[in-house]
Amino acid sequence: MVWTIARKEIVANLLSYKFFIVILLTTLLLFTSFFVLYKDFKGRLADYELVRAKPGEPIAVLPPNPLSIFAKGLDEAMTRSFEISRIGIDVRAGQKSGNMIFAFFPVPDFVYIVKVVLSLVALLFGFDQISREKESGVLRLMLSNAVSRAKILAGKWLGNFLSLSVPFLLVTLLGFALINLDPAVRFPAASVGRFLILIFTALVYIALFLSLGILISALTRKAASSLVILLLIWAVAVFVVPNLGTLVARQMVDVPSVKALSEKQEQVWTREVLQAIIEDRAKNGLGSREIRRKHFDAINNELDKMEEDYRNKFDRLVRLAKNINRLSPSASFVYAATELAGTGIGEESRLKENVLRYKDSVLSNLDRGEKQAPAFAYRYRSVGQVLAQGGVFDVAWLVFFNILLFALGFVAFIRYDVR
Amino acid sequence: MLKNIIKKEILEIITSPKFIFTFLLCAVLILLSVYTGIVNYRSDQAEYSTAVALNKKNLESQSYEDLPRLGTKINTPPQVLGAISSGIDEAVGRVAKVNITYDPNLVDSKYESNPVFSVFGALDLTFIVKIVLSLFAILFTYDAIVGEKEKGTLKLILANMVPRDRLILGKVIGGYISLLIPLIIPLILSLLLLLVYPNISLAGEDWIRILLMFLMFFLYLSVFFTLGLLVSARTSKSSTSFLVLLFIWVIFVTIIPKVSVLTAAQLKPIPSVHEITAKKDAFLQQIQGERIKKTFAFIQGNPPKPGQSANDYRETFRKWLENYQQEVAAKIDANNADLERDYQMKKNSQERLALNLSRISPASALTFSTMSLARTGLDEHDRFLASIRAYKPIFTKWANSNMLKNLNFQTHKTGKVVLDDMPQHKFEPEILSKSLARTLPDFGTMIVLIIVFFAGAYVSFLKYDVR
Repeated sequence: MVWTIARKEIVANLLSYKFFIVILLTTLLLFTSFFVLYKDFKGRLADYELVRAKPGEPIAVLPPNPLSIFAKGLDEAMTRSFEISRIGIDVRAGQKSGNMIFAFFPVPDFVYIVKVVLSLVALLFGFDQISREKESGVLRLMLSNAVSRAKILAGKWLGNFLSLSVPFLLVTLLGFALINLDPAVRFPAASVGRFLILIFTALVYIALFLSLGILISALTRKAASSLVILLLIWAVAVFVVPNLGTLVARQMVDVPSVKALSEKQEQVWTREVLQAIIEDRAKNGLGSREIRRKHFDAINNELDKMEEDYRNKFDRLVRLAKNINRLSPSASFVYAATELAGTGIGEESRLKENVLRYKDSVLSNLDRGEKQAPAFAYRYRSVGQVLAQGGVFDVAWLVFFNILLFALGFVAFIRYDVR
Repeated sequence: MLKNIIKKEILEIITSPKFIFTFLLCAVLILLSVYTGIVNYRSDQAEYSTAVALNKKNLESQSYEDLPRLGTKINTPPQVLGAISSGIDEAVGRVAKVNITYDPNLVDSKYESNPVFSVFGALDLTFIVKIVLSLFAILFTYDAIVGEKEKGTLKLILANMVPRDRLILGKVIGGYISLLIPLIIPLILSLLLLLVYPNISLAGEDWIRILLMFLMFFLYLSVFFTLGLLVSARTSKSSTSFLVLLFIWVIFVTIIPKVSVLTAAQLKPIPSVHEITAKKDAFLQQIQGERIKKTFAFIQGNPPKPGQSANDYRETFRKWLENYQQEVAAKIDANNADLERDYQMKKNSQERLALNLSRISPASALTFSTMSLARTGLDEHDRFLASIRAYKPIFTKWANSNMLKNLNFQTHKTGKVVLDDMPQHKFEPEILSKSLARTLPDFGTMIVLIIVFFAGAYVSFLKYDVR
């Protein structure tokens, strides 16, 4: 029975023009996004070839992540070049940061399209499932037979979910396969697994909004009112709440600004250098190398301490903001997707830690008097680690939301007045 | 007759639950965003004064001989109107070093030092209006005509002696007034907040800018209002009308701004920073090669003259070498300056193209015009940088002359820096008329769209099938 109802929903969808317009628009958007981000990736790869460290140079730079074509995340920040020297770390960004407008209008990647457009599409499929059939009188005709309400709801959900997800899956997998054809963007075997988990998360996210649509549809009498309510919820959940967390978190956690930190660092630097010069002159230029080494070490230690203190406070701020943002499933989805792709906040902070460790090893190499600096190697976290460090939580949160909304929809439909 | 229709529209909308919902949400979001904008401005202000004081202390603790090399730092003052439209403030650098060596550049933006900030976007009033309130405008009008037709009341009204144009005019005015109410009240409250909050000082010109920004908000929402009416008068089912409006919204607000940036990048590509560096390096190599050749040529062409002592010959050679090296340095500088200028020109023209292409969408027009009015846009940033670059020669002249003046030739020491006569960096914020001139095309876009949509709605309604 469930499958019969699902089949009926799928056929009804296929015969409606609204379905085709929606699928067409989504396909267009997805292919455009794949193409644009693919070109962007090639550009960044070319940039990387120019900047990559030659053996012996103390430069830490990562090649662009192929999965960033789907989830851009913080990949641009992660692929900057970090040049280590006694003075500190010189961070050099690529071309894009030179052009202000790119920072202002971020490119719509796959994750963004799913977050904004596909959630809207899922809502549009779900919002009139119950209210429309009630208004047209079909619902009471169906229920006057020996069909349980549960089966009707399940059939509707299944039919609409299939109508949504099958075209979406086809387009996405096709895009992935086409991009994989380019030898420069060959995805390593592990990436395929990550990508599949990412698609799974996207499907859970879409299903969530479908369940939400059906729930609201089962709570209202007119299709029009369910639309209004759903739109408001969508706007708040997708746009407002994900940004609200940072605001609230900034009020609650006090973090010294980056400028104050760099001013303090400059002060330490100036003070130690001047001291070194004074001591140097006092000894009339003898033993200057030891004096300089002593002061450089003092500078490094103090700066490291300040950085660590700042980073701890900042990490607390980021964690609090993330947790508040997670009230919205959109934020959970973005976090899960970017962490899986290796362009998320967790991966970026791990990279920073690795760069600092690399700096220590380079400096100790210099102390030993070696000319060649060790090469910088970074391994992205494995899928297991990603999931363990928060990925599972986000995906589970989405699944939980899904189950909750479906259950609520079920309860609402049971008590629905179909006359 | 018109007044009755207007009254009926207003009453109908005000007593509907969606109005109360919208009013509450509007009030909360508008006040929240303005409040957070003010709080951010205050913390930016505190940061700015700390940075300036630190810089002064640093300067005073140096001696004159180090001054030209270490130089001073200029910080960007935060803009008070950034509370309403934060613009590019978080994405650009806020401090520039001024000394004899480097060309000043504004570095150290919030996003660069901590990219995580760019993941969580900014939530200012412009963002709320652009995304959330435009959806509300669509919500109010998507069923203005189609909804009444579905309810059956449209044909009842028109069965009387009510001319169609009166009816649509009444609907427009009534609907517009009831859309304005949930907006004006929170906006006035936020103006009061700005007035009353301690330590926020707004000049007369700032108030005019705020009012112009609010005017821009109204025009933006009117675009979506008239668009809703147009689509409502061309469809026969309210769900179709809503769907179409939503698609147009997605295209206007999210697609066109991004696509225009990408198109501009394709139409006017700029070489990457690394390519430019590579070109500079190549030129350097070429010059080195030439230098070796020329040096050999000189030695071969000017052998020591008979009777010329080794010292004299070395003198001639050294003099020639010095001249030649200066020539070479000048050539390198000229080449670098050319490459930089060319790159800047290309970058600027790409930015202009992206800006102009994206202005087709009222959402971009809104963003750019409020950025210009709030002085948090690209132009203000460029002007500030130019003023710093103009300040550099003044400062270096003062630093160098003071260093020479205070140099004690016996001890090779100079005294500590005294800042009384240091020339200050002055920056004139852009005057209102210039900002306004820049935002005129955006006003124009909105007004043209409003007129076109309204005319379309009017004409469509006159031929509408009300059965």
